[in-house]
Amino acid sequence: MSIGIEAYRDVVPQGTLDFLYRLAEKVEGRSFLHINSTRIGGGVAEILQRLVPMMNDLGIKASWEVIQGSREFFTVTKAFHNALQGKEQVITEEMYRTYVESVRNNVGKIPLDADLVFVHDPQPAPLIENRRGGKWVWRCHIDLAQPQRSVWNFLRRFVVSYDAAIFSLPKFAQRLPVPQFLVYPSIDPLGPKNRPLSPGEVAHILERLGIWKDKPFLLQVSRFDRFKDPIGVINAYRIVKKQIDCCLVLAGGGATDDPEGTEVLSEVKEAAGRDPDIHVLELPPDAFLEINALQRAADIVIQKSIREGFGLTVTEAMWKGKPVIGGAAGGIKVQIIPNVTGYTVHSTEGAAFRIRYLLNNPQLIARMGGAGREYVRRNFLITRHLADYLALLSFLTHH
Amino acid sequence: MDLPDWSSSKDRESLIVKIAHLAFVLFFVECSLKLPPASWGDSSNAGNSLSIIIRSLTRKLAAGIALPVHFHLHGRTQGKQREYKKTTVNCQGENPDSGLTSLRIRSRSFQIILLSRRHEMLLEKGNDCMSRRAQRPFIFYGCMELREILGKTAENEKELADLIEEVPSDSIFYHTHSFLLRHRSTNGEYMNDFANWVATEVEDRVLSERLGIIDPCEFETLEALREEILSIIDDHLAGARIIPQVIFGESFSFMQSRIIQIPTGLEVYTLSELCQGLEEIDISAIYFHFFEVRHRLKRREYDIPLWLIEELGLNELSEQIRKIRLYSLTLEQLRSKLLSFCGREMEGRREER
Repeated sequence: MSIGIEAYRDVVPQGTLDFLYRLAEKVEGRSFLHINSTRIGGGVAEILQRLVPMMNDLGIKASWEVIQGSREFFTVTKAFHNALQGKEQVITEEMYRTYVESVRNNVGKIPLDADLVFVHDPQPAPLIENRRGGKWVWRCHIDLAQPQRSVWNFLRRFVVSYDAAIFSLPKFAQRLPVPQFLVYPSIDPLGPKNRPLSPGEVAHILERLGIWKDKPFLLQVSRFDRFKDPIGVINAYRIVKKQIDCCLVLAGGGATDDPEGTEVLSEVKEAAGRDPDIHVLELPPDAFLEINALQRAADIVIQKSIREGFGLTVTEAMWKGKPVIGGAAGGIKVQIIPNVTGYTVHSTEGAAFRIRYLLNNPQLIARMGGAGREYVRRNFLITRHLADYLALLSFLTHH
Repeated sequence: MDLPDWSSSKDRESLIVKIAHLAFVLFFVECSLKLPPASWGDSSNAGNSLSIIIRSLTRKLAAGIALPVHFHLHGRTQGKQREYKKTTVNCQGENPDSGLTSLRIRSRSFQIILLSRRHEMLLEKGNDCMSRRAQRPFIFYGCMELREILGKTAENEKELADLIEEVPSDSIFYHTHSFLLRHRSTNGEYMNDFANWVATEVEDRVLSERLGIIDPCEFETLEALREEILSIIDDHLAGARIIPQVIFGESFSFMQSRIIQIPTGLEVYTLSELCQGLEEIDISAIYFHFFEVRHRLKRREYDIPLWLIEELGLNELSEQIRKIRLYSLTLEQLRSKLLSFCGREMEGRREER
C-alpha cells in the first residue's frame, strides 16, 4: 500500500510538511527524472521507492527510470564500484567498452527529457552523452575518498559534462570543474526497516531468530566485512563481559555472494567460538523487519567501522532511541554527537570502555537514545532529503 | 439650546443609535478613501481603529455620560505630542458632524478626550499595541541551505589560515553564521566550524578557545570577520614552535552556503500576530530573519526589529531584540527569547490600559 506524504506529518518535526509544500510551490510542475540501475535492492532503490511518490504528491512531475544491462555489464560495474571505493581492481579496455556500450544501448529506451535529470551512481553516468536539455546532476552515493585513479579518471570524463555533482560527505568530493553539493542520506521512518513495531512483534521476531533477551543486549548490524571490524566488536564484548553479563548479536547479510564476506564470516564464527551469548546471524538482503526488531530490542548499538561510507545503520539505531558507539570513520562522525547521542571510538578498548560505562549508567542509555532520536528527526529523515532535492531543483532550474 | 435629558433611558438609547450610525458611516467612508500618504494609516486600518474608538465611546455613553461631546484626538509620534483632530459630535442635530468623517489615526499612540459641559475625562487611550495594525505586513520567509563543497581542504593550521584568506565570503558565512542552521537542536562546544575543527581534529585547545570566543555578530561585514579570524590564527602561529596539524583526525573541508528563500505564506500586521507567527514558523525562518537578513542579504523588508519601529512604533521592543546576543543561543532558544520579549511588551501595554 502506498504511503502518502501526509502520513509523515506526525513523525517529522512540526512545520516540516508545510515547509515542503511551500518549497514545492516554487518548483511546481517541473519535471524531475531519476535514473539508476536497479529498482529493487540497495539503499538507492530503497529511498527512490519513497521519494518519487512523495515528489509527485507535492506536484512535481517525478519519474524513475532504470537502465538495463547484461550480467557482464553488472559484473563490470561491480568491479567499478569496488575500485571507486578503494579496492584495487583489474579493469581491462574490454570492460570499459562493455560499460559504455551497455549504457548506450539504453538510449532511446529511456525518456531523457526533464527539467532536472538525476543520475544515481556510476552505472548510468555515460547517459549524459545523450543529453537533450534540462539540467543534469550526478548523484554519487558511494565512498569516493580514495578511488582507484585509473577508474575515476575514466568516469570523470562523463562527470565533467554534468551541471553539478552531489556527494554524501565533503571528503568524497573530487577535483571537478562543476559545482559539488553535499546531501546526506536519509532513512524512511515509515518503511519496513524503521516503522514502529509493537513489543509483541519484536518478541515474535526475536524468538524466530533464536534470541532470548534475558540480559543486556549489544548489537552490530553490518555486512561481514573487515572494514566493519566484527572481530574488534567481539573483543570489546569480551572485555565488557568480564565485569557485566551481556550478550552480543552480529547481524549481517549478503555474505554468500561475496568471497571475502564468506571468509570474514568464518573468521567471525571462529572468534565467537562456543560462547552461547554471541549470536552471529546471516540475514537475507530483504530482512528489514528482522533488522528493525533487533535494533529495537538492543540496549546499545555498535558500529565499530574502521572505514565507512556514510553508515546509515547508525541513524537507524538512533531513530529507535538507542545510543550508538561508532568507530570514528566517515559519516559515523556526522551522525553521532559525542556524549549526546553516543560515542565515537578509535580502538577496541575504547569501544569496551564506552559499552561498560553505558551499561553501568542505564539512565544515560535512555537519555542518549532520546537525544539521538530527536537528532535523526531533524537531520536524517527522508523529508529532509526531499527538501534538499527540491532546493536543488529550484536552484539549478532558476539559474 | 435645550439639552436632552440623558438620565432618560429613551434619550440615551437614541444617542447610542446615532453613535452607532456614526461609526458605521465612518468605517465605510474611511475604507472608501484613497490610500493616504505613507506616514498615514491606510484607509481600512484607520477605519478599524476608529471603529474601535467608536465602539468604546458607545459603551461609555451607555453608562450615562452627559453630552454634547467634543473629541480631541491626540497622538504621540516620535516623542512629540500632537493634536490631530478636535471636533464635536452635535448630538442635537440630525446629522453627525461631517468633519469627523475625515478623521484618521495617524499615530499609533493616541488619546480621545471626551469633553462635556461639566467635566473632561479620558475616554480612550489608544495605546493598545495589540490593536495597532501595520500598514505594511511583515512577511515571514523560511529557507533551505544548499551546501556547496569547495574542494579545498586544510590539514594544518597554516593551511587553514591560507584558505580562510582565499575562500569566498559565502564560505566564511557558512562556517560561522550558518553553523546555527545546521546545529538547530544541539549546542556544539563552540559556535563555529573553525574552532570545533581545531579542537576535535587538530586538538589544539588554545587556538580553539581563542576562535571559539569570536562573536560573528559583532562584525559589520564578513570581511571584517575574516580578518579577525586570520589575525587570531596568525598570532597563535607566530608563537608556536611547530605548526599544529591533523594526525588522526580529518582534514577541514571548506564549504559555502547557498540559501534558497522560501515564502511561508504567513503575513502579520500586529504584534500579537507577529508573536503567533514566531511561535508557529519553521525554525529556518528564525535563522533567515536574524542571520541571513542581517549579515548577508541586508534587506530592510525582512528585518523584524526595523518593522517593529517603522510599522508599530515599538522602538523599545525593537532595541531589546537588536541587543540579543545571537551567538549565545540556539535557534530554538532565540525563538523563546523573542516570544518572551514580545509577550512582555503586550503584557505591559495591557497593564497600562
